[in-house]
Amino acid sequence: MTLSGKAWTWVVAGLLAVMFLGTACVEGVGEFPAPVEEAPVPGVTDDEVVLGTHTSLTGPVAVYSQIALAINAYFEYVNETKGGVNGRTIKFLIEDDGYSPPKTVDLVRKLVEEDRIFALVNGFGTPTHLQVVDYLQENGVPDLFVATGATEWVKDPEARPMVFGSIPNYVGEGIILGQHIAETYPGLKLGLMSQNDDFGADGMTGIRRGVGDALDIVGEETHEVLDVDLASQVDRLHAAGVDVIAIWATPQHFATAVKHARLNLNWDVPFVLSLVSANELTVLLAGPEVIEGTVSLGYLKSAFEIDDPDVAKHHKLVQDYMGGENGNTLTLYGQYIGELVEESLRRAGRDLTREGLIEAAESITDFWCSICLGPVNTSPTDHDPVQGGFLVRAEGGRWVRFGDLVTYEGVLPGDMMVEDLTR
Amino acid sequence: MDLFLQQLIGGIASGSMFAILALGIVLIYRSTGTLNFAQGQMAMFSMFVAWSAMSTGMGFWPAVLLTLLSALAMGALVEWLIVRRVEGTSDLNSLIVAMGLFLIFDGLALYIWGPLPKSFGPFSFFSGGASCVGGVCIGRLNLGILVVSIVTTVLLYLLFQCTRFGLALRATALNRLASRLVGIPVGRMLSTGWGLGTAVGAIAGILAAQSLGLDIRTMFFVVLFALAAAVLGGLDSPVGAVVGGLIIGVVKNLAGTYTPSSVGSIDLAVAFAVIVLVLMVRPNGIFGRPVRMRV
Amino acid sequence: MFLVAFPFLHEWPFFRLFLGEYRTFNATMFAVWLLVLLGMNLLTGYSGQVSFGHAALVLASAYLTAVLSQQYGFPLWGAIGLSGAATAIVGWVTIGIPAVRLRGPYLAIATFGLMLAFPQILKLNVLTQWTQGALGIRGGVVEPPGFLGDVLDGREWMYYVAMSMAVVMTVLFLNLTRSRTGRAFVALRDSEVGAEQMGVDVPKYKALAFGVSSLYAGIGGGLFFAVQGFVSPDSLGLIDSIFFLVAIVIGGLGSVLGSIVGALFLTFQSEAISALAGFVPGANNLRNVFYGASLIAVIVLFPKGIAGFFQRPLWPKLRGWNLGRLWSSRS
Repeated sequence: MTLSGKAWTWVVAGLLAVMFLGTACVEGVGEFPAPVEEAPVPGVTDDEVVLGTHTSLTGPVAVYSQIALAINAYFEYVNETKGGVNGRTIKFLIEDDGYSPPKTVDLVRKLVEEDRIFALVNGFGTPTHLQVVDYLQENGVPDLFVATGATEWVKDPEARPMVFGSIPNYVGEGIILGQHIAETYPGLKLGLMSQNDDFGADGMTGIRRGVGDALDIVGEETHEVLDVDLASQVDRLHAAGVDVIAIWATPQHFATAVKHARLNLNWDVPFVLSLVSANELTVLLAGPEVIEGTVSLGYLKSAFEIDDPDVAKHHKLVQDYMGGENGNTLTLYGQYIGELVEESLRRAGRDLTREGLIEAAESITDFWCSICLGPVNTSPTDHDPVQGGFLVRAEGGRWVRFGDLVTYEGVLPGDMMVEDLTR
Repeated sequence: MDLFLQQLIGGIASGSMFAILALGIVLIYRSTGTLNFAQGQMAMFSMFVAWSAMSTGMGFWPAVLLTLLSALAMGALVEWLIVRRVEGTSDLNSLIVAMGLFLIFDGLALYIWGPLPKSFGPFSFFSGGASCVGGVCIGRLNLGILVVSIVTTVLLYLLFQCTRFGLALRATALNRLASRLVGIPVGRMLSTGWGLGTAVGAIAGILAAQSLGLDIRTMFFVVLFALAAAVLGGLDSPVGAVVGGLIIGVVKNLAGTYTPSSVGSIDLAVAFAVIVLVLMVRPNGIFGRPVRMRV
Repeated sequence: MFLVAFPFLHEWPFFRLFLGEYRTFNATMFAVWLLVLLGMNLLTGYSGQVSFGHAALVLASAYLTAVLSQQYGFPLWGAIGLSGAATAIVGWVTIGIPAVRLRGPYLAIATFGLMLAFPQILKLNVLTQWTQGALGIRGGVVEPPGFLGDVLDGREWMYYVAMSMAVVMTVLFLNLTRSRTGRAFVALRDSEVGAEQMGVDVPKYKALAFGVSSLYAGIGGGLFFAVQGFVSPDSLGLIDSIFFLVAIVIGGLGSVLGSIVGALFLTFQSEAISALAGFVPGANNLRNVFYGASLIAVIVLFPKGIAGFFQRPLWPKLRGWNLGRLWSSRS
């Protein structure tokens, strides 16, 4: 060691200062000496239960912050009109990770260890939530109704008992849409387009299973999140002579694909798309004429159904508690999550424990939330609350339901999921 | 062959979008040496200005004109108010300022216009169907993008090469001290450089909005390719920016098309491998002037 | 040495009260970021090269650690060391040597390309048997060795390991920067031509700086996997990569203190912005404006970074150096 004495002092002082001033002082010097009498259940007091979430209030996908804000609005509504659940008001902490996984880890651990939340609700984003899902498992924190349809959340409830899905999982959704393709376009040529990650891979697994051998798959294209548009991919499918396209992409990407096909290629190939992009964002980005006739899946009522009393009530909720103008697909989804959490808390009873909440959340039977199109069912082997919906077709900038309620329940039973989906 | 031509057209169309944004980046780099990471978000901000103007009932072209003027003012103001504060410290500091601007414009747009995308275009001659020859098609959308890109490039070229004002801009970029000595108002030229760069960025934004839609994240990823294009062509060369943008657009499309599917998708990796290879041969980009080294 | 790394081991209950669970995790992540930023600082602050691609190196090493420890049964600490060494060699040979001719923004964007392309490479079909594609690799909780099992829990053990690695590497860093090699780095940062005239083998030292810097990134990356217990192609993104550079410039180039301040910045940024937005009601949508404005304010007030302001220069000669000389063609 060639360090001089002075430098040693400097290194040690610097690091110690950082280790202790940087950490302890943030907490407030007044707090540390008193051994805190730990509440038996984190986040639960006599009159309050604290829940938390991580979402993107900023960053490229900031638009999805509407979901968390709508959940919060619904909780405020429950607190005000019903006095909370089982005599406890709900406090909802929203942390902004900007869609960056290391920040998600920081903030979720802060929620759990500093803010002592009772449960995490509707964590947003597959890459972000993947980074914390096992942390929540290991620490026994309920991880309710994650805001994506990745099969990671639902494929093995025994290995990950804490985590629940919320939207139809992408494989299941793919199966339903694949079956629709098989029935509508038998014998034709199918092209696949998907995002190069779990989201796309899950969707394509489902589509393949749903289609079976009814169509020839003649083209498979993937794209990255940071691809600007999907024109090149669409051109390739066009050249391959595809008759129908199944696409798993974000609204932004889907909009560029369908716009390119219609406007630059004069190609009115039918698109079948994931429900992730069957919403107002796509309509605004691509325009109503361009998306006309595209088919997807819907499992909640739509924002345009203002004659429906529950949807009207939702718009009022958004105006009163969110300060927004009108609800949309994202806020409707937020209310659905809010109602699902309310139902789980109600079932868990007055004596709240984390185990009790998990038991409650996996024993929901035949629950119809006010804006649901089908029943919510869960069990200890089924953490996938909604397993189906109605096919929807774009007409004048709205995705309108057609046909009967379709489900992948039974097609994709618990055991089968674990084996078939572990890639 | 049809597929090849179609991919070429697509690559040129998306490449010209990168090229125009890269052109803005180059103009700003030449002015203050700032590698402007905020270029995309500033263009996005301008797109929203255009949308706001149109939502008051203004026509498309008047709104574009208003947007360009406001972008010019915005860029000049940013240089005068903010960038000048770190002038003469270190170019890494101006990079931090650019990151700060990136966040500020991102946040401001979110605050003013909310997170939902806006309905925007295609307008004017961008709208309409495609014309096909055999299996190769070109739509009004792509054609419009190409035409506007070419017009922008030519106008800028004329501005720089055929006017006294352009000469002054070039002189400032080359040698600030000497420019000051011959009586060029250097400070004003730097602001103008930023203003021009931002306005050119706004054009790129309006082109992008026609084909990608108007959203806070529309330019989030375009700017990455534009930065790469600017570097590939040479950061002090406007011609280089255009060439670089086109190369990246075309290479990415062709790499995506001709990679065997068993490998998986690799177009980004190929595009950046090409950039690195070119920089190996020409460390200052294809058209960049070498950095003069001194003790 | 032992006391520095394990300052309060003999008083562990005190330690536990002092920090709390979450602060222990913060301090652990601080150590990880410190390692990464020491490497960044060596590269940028000492040898004058700019990289936007360090997150790719961190990610690569995290993956290597994950594959070695989860699939080939290497002990975790061995895997971290091995990955660090491998990353150093990769950084030296495949990035450092080609980068010798590139300067300033050209090098920055070329390395940025690495970060853009790397997640796509991790997801290539031919590699998924090791990388598990987009799903990533899980690590699980690291338990302390038996003889410490009664005293420490997993996260405290992780903290001591990470922090002692950070301290050891900091000491090595100081030694390196004061050695002949370190002075050669500084010389070529200040002026490549001047360094060459003084007999410094410029290409060799530039590549070497990249190698050493990659070593730090690699060890940081291995620890990143151990601490987070998970790595996927999206674990570190473009923005993270850019913010590594932002962190050292804000912290202060050319000093250990700068890296420490930068690591504090990375550790506490999300919490700080959250708190800032909490002061102003209804300011959720303005978060990024606050964030951006603070960055600009800091760099305007402290042009040499926060460390540069608080610290007496260790090498008086270095006062007033200007990296800009290497950055642009302006004379």
